[in-house]
This record gives sequence, C-alpha cells and structure tokens, in this order.
Amino acid sequence: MNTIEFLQISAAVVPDREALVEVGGAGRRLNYAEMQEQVTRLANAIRGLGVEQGQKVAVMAQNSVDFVLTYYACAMLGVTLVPLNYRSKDEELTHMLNVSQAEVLFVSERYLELVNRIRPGLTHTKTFVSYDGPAEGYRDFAGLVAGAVAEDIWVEVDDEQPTVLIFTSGTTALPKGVMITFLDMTAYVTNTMNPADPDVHDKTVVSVPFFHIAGATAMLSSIWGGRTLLVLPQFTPEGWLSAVGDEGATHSMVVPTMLKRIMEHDALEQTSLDTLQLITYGAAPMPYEVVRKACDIFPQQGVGLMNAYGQTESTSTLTYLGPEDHDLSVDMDVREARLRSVGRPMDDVEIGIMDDRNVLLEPGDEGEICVRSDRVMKGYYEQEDATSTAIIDGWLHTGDVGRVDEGGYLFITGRKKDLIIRGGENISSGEVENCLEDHEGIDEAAVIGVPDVDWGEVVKAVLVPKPGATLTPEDVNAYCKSRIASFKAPQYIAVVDELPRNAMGKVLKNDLRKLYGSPTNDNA
Amino acid sequence: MAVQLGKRYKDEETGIEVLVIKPGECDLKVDDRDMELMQPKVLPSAD
Repeated sequence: MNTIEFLQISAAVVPDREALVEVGGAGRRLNYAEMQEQVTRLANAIRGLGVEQGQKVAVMAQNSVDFVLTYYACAMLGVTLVPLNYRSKDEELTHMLNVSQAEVLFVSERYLELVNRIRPGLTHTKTFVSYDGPAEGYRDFAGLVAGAVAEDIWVEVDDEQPTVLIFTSGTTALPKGVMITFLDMTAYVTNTMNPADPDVHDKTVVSVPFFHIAGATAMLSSIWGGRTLLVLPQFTPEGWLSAVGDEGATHSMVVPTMLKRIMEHDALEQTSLDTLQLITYGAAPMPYEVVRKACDIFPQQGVGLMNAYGQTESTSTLTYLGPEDHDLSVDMDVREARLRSVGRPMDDVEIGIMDDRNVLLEPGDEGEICVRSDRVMKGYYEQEDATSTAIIDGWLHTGDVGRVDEGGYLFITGRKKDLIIRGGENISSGEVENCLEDHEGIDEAAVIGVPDVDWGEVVKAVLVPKPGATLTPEDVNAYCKSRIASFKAPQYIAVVDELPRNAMGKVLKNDLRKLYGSPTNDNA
Repeated sequence: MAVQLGKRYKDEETGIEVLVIKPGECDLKVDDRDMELMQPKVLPSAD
C-alpha cells in the first residue's frame, strides 16, 4: 500500500477536519482537503524538478507543516524521503547526502548557511529549495507549490521500496541509512492505529524530530488516524503545554528528558490536561525517578503513560509498558518493579534473548535482545556487511542487552557495545548508571571505561549533581559497592554541569571518552 | 440500509474488512452474509 493513501482516505472521510497545525512558528493550519490539495501541487512541482519514482529527496529542517507536505508529496510520486538530522556535523551531512544520492534538498532558513558551507562537497544533489522564502541559489518553496498544477498523480509502488531512509544517530561511526519500506510503514501504522472515523477526533502533538523514527511514524499514524497533527517546530516545555492546554492535544510521544522538563515547568499546574489521554515516552532510557514522579502526576488526572521501546531498524515500537502498568493503585510492588522494564512485545513482534554465539537463552537469562517481525528494516542502505551483522537468520540484533521476567516483561540492562571489561569481568554501563541515578545527590549519570594498568579497564562515572549536592569519589564508590557488585563501582568520577547528548537525548559516550577518558578524578 | 462514511465492516468467516470512504444506500455482503459494523477497539499505538 502506498502511504499517500493514508491521506487520500482521511481526506475522503474527514475533509473539513484540521489535519496539520503548527504550534508556534508560522502558526499555519490546514484541513484534510487543503492538505491533499497542497500535497498534490507539491508532488507535481517535485516532478517538475526532474525527480522520478525510486529516486530520493532530502530535508534539512526543524519540524513544520511544509516538512509533512514534502513527505506525502514524495509518497505520491513513489520517491523516498531522507529526513536529515539537523544536529549533524558537516562531515556527517555531506556523507548522508552523498550516500543517499538525494536529487533535491529542502532546507529551512536556520540551516541555509550550513548547507551553503557543505555544498562544494556534495557530489549528487544539485537542486536546493528554501522552505522559508527566497534565498540565493535556492528555489522558493511557496512559489513552487503555487506555480504547480493540482492534478492527481498515481504511481504503483513496490512494497519493498523504501518510503523513508533514516540515518541512525551514529554515536560510534558515520551514520547508517535504515531503509523503511512502504510495507514496513503500512504494517506498523495499520496494526497500531484505527483509521479515520468521523466520530473520533484525536490530536497528536509531535515534538520529536521527523528525522527520528518516532517523529516519522507520528507523521504517518496521525494522518491515517484522521487526527489533527499539532506540529512543534522544536520541543520546548512551553510549546508542548500550549499544544495540550490551548489546542487540546490527546496524544503525545516524548523522550525522557522532555517529560522531565515538562514536569519541572511552573506552567504545568495551570495547564488543563482534560483532553490528554496518553503520553508515550521512549527513545532513551527513562530514569526511574522521573517515571515514578510521572506516575504520581498524570494517571490521577486521567492521563495514561506508556513506555515504548523500539529502534529505527524495527520501524519503531517493539515492546510497550501500557497505562495499566503505570497505575500503582493496585499491585504496587510488582508494578513499581516493572516500571524499570520496557514492557511486553507488540502482537507482531517476537523477542529472543541470545548469547554471543547467537543461541537463544532461557527466560530470565541476560543476553542480547533480538527480534523477529515483518517490519524489521530491509537493511542498511548500501551497507551489506553492516546489514548481515545486524540481521542474522531473520533475527534483528538490537545491540541492547536485557532479560525477560516471568511475566514476559523485558528489562534492558545495558548496551552490548557499551560494556566495560574490568579484568575479564563484563560490566554493563546501564546497570551502573541506574544505580548511580538512584543516589540522592545525583541528577544524571553516565559511565565509561578508562585505562588501568592492573585491570585493563575500570569504571569512571561522569555525574551531574543535584543542586547543592557535593560528590566525592570515595562516597560514590562506597554507595555503589553497597548496591551492586563491588568491581562495578566507579573508581573515578567527573563532576559536570551537563552530559553531552544527541538530538534524541542519548548520551554521546564517544564525546565523554574524549573529554573524560583519563583515569583521574575531574572537578571532584 | 446505508453504509456509513469512515466506518469499517467485517465478515467474520473470511476476515474481510471494508473501510467506507464514499457512503451510499446499499448493503455490504460476502456470499450473501451481511457484513457487520465494527466497533473501534483500543490499539497499542505509541504515536
């Protein structure tokens, strides 16, 4: 199924309903009929630029209504959209554009200068379009749309053709392009969202960037579901609260740091949450303290919480911890413990825990989390070696380490590639970080391995203290030894103001290793 | 009986589902069985 049909169906069922609303920014509002007309014009305009089915178009912009229009126009043409991570460095951007061979690049005003800087190094992209008004060397988006006809275009797409090419964060090497096909996206969306219904009007606030899988799926699910998509150009707690309080958002997906900032914001108490039905969180580990606080704030006001664990490579959600699991009014002990889990598999997902020889382990054993599902990616774009390392005998190897409890709940205990090996003993960074983040004086924690003459590697903790707290290496070490195996306790600490994170809130361990990779105590 | 815009109808025996995007005065049948109006159920969407 071509995902353009999501829009065409909803435009038939709820033509007068608002489809896209920009919260802040330009404040644009389009109903479904208007959106379909704009998308059709844009598709004709893109075709007029010489782009054909099977080719690629890239976007370098914050979230916007125009970004969503561009996705659906590409789908109408059977063209693959490449949403670029706007936090990428010059080298990464050049790499992504050259590897994907994007014919056209759409750019928002904020990134014109950056794109101009890398243009000499681009080997394939020749046409550039400015979203935000005329710019030298760019075609003007509004002019392109206005000058194009609104004639319907119909192409038959191969289910195996990528509809989006999403580059993964690339915390260890240059980003890899994950091919998500029309079939992957259709399977995910239609299995998890009811189609448009004149009697049901939900509103999704999207604050996750569209270059992230959770942002991309929000863009598709919302339109298939006949929802109003409230587009935040970029997350701010004020913008999110406005989308909820003023626009009546019913659903929202946030990353843990966003949820923390929302809960800490003074305006939360004054904001009506009456319309809000569900907050989903995911994309990065959720500190227990934050989710526990969320359980005290939201369910009492009728707002469900959901933890969704997934990857770009699996077309989003693999497991989920649903609203009932966040209701601590019953089975409190069991449910509190399971708040540290990422829940149970979706209906179309099979989870297997494997050892290093790719042998399935027994329930309860710890190993690499592997998954089978019809919507596992087709592969990494033009990286057969990386694909064959990630998908073995039909199992996608996530690189995450975890175990499944007797109730079928999956607990993530660390990253396979984020192990610290001390004298032959494997230490999962996640386990030490979880322990540290339970410390009353620690706000955030990340651990890395640093060289050691005796042990090869020992643990060093990079810590953000809570206001007014004083942390010493001795206290931190003693605290950890009282909670986890002593060899896992940090030997060194660095006290910092904040941890370096990527756009999705994941801690950049390579940056930490560069900054704090020596076996010393820093600022402590 | 009129089929309704934006509603889904299902035939249990074959599993066929139909989503109506242009309503009209007609019955939906599979092998002479009336297709039944589906009630929306909550799906585990993270979006």
